[in-house]
Amino acid sequence: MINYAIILNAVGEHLFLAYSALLVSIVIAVPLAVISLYNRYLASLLLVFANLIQAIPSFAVVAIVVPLLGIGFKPAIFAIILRIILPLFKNTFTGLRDVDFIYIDSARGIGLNQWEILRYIRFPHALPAIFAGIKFAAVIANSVAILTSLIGAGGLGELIFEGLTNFNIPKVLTGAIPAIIIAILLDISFSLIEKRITLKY
Amino acid sequence: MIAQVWKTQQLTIKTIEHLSMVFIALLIIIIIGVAIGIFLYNKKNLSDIVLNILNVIETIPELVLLVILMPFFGIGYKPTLIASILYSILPVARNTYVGLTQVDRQYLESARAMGLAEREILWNIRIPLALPMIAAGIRIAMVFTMGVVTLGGLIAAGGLGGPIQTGIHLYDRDIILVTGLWIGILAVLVDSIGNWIEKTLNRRYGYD
Amino acid sequence: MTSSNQFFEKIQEINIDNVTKKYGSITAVQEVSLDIQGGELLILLGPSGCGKTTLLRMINRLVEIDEGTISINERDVQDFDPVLLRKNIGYVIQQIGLFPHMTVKENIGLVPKLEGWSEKKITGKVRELLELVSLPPDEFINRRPKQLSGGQQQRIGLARAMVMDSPLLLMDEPFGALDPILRKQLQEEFIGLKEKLQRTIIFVTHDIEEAFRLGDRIAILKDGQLIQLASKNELLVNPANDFIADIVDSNKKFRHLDNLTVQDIMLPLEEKYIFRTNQTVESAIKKMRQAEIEFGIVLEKHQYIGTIKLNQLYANPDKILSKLTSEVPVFQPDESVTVAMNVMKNANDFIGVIMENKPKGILLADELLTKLV
Repeated sequence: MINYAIILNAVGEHLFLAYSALLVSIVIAVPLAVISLYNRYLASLLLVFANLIQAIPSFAVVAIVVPLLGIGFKPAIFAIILRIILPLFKNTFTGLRDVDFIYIDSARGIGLNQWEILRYIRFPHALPAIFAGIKFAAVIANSVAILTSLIGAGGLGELIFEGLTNFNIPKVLTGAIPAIIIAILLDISFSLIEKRITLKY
Repeated sequence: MIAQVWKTQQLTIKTIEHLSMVFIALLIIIIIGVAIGIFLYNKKNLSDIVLNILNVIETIPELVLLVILMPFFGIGYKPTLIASILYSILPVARNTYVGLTQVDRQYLESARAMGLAEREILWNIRIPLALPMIAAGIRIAMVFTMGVVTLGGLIAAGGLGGPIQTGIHLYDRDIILVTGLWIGILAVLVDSIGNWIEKTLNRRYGYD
Repeated sequence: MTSSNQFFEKIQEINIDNVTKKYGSITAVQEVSLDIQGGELLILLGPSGCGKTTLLRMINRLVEIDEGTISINERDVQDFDPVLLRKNIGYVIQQIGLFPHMTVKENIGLVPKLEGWSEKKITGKVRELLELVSLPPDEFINRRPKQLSGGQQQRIGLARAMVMDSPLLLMDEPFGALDPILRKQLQEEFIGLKEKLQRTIIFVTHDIEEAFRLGDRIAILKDGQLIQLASKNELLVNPANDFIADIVDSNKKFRHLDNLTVQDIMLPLEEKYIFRTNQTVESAIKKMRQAEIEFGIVLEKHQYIGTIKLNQLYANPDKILSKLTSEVPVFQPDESVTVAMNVMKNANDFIGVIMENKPKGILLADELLTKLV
């Protein structure tokens, strides 16, 4: 018997988990990227870290959070943030940094100060890169959220794991199929938004 | 502490299992991925379709992909291997495709004008000059594969995912830390090998 | 791969008959007809967008003809397999296009290799060609393009186009991307080569000076149409219309010639061309490579000692600069152009130095002016 209520509940938990983590990460990563524009040391440090940590399997990251923060919802969000914050930072930073020098130069020429340059020149030009970073982070957040049920965060992963332990394939699918649908919807909606953004520029 | 965990969790065997799965998967991924890229390089419409499909597979959470294969392939290393391949083929195929199609036009024009046939241009010009991009794709595939193989531990595929799962179930801090950090180190090592390959090929075949 | 036989031993004639090429609503080449005689160097001259490059590329079918025919020795180019056709025609482009992942030898020897030549034969041919384009083989045979200057790369591009001994050579603004003095140097070298090679050459350029220096006959194109095809003298004396007359500047030049002084047409002496007598040959070579030039003026304090060329430096790595210099004509800034051109013509030099206490500038022989004096 497929219990839709349970599935819906799981979906809700999953989405909440993934997207609050995404939000928090954006709120931290973007200011960090801006600061790094003016502080080379910080920038190189963070970039090196970003590349290093990206290589580590998500599963290991999720596990390592346990001895540090225990199990449950909060450690789960922390694990997801750990995983996505650095790629978000990297994409935002390089997007802001790599704006064609011609534009920055002419902006300085007309007398814009650093803050105005940031707001009116860098950010608009960096939008595609930032957006790509957010899309990337959203996909990973989605993935890691599933894993976090291992450490007691609930969500669709929990259905999958319960199914696994009891060799109950149908149960596994009740968790897996919604996850796939969410992933595809994610991809489609981001592609649509991407089209709208690139049309503007 | 480390020595004890190592012994009780049989980390040596697990490491070997883990790395062999990664290695075999990568071999297959590279061969199939590059082949797909080469096959598609002059077929734009088909490549758009294929690369889009692979792209969708990428957005599916790895665990879900793994689990979906179970009804067909059971548990253990088989679905793990297949999931790694499915997941990691995109970066290799896509980078091969992009590398082959985006060779600087002046080289392609010279080659055509010299009287090289399409095939000769592919093998003598496009492929060598695409190697840096292909290497970058392979590096990404290496990281992805490490990830999926680690997950395989959850479905009895062997490898280091198993001890991690044990650690979580038993809520054993030591096991988690030792195994987790060990996987981290291995992953970074694998990635730096990929980095080295990429840099070397860039030096030899790269141009700006 | 099938080996290509030599399609044409020697070019008798190339007939371009009423050829048209359209891109959508834009006509790049419109009903152009011209005949190229075997053994001549024909220039296709015109402003950018006039269709000269498109026309050139229809000969080796890099661009397909919409209407009309092109025949080589009375055989329609459409009858040949395009790939084999191109193996029989040499082609050089402005960006040069040397393959960055291959050595000089591999670049030049690519087609021979695909044709199944033995390693020995390839090496022999490559060495022969390097000598022909004034590059010491031992020095250059294993270098990679990124280790070469622009001028050296273009020489290799030329060598590569000649490796199959094709009787026809197509060149699309090959010297366009180079330093002006270097361009003149290569043009001079090319004239010497042209004598040796005895090939039919079709050469595209937008530079009238280059056209007059190199060409036997010149075909002027504008907006896709052929305006006039004639020898240099005929163009000067008998321009077909005002457009051509403007190009060759014949009216203007005739009018002001008596008033022109050398100072009016000289190139100011840039720092990069200046060398000191106590410099080593090695440092001079390095400096020239970085500046992408192959020519220099050697000074002692501000005294002009002589000029040097890159080729001479390579040949004499152990000497010092002051021993290697050559004399070239020297002029005062207020010398009349008429006199200067006569001196250069008689001395058969294309370069002169303008001195006023110290070197001020460089005079490049102007083919047009030379013809007019």
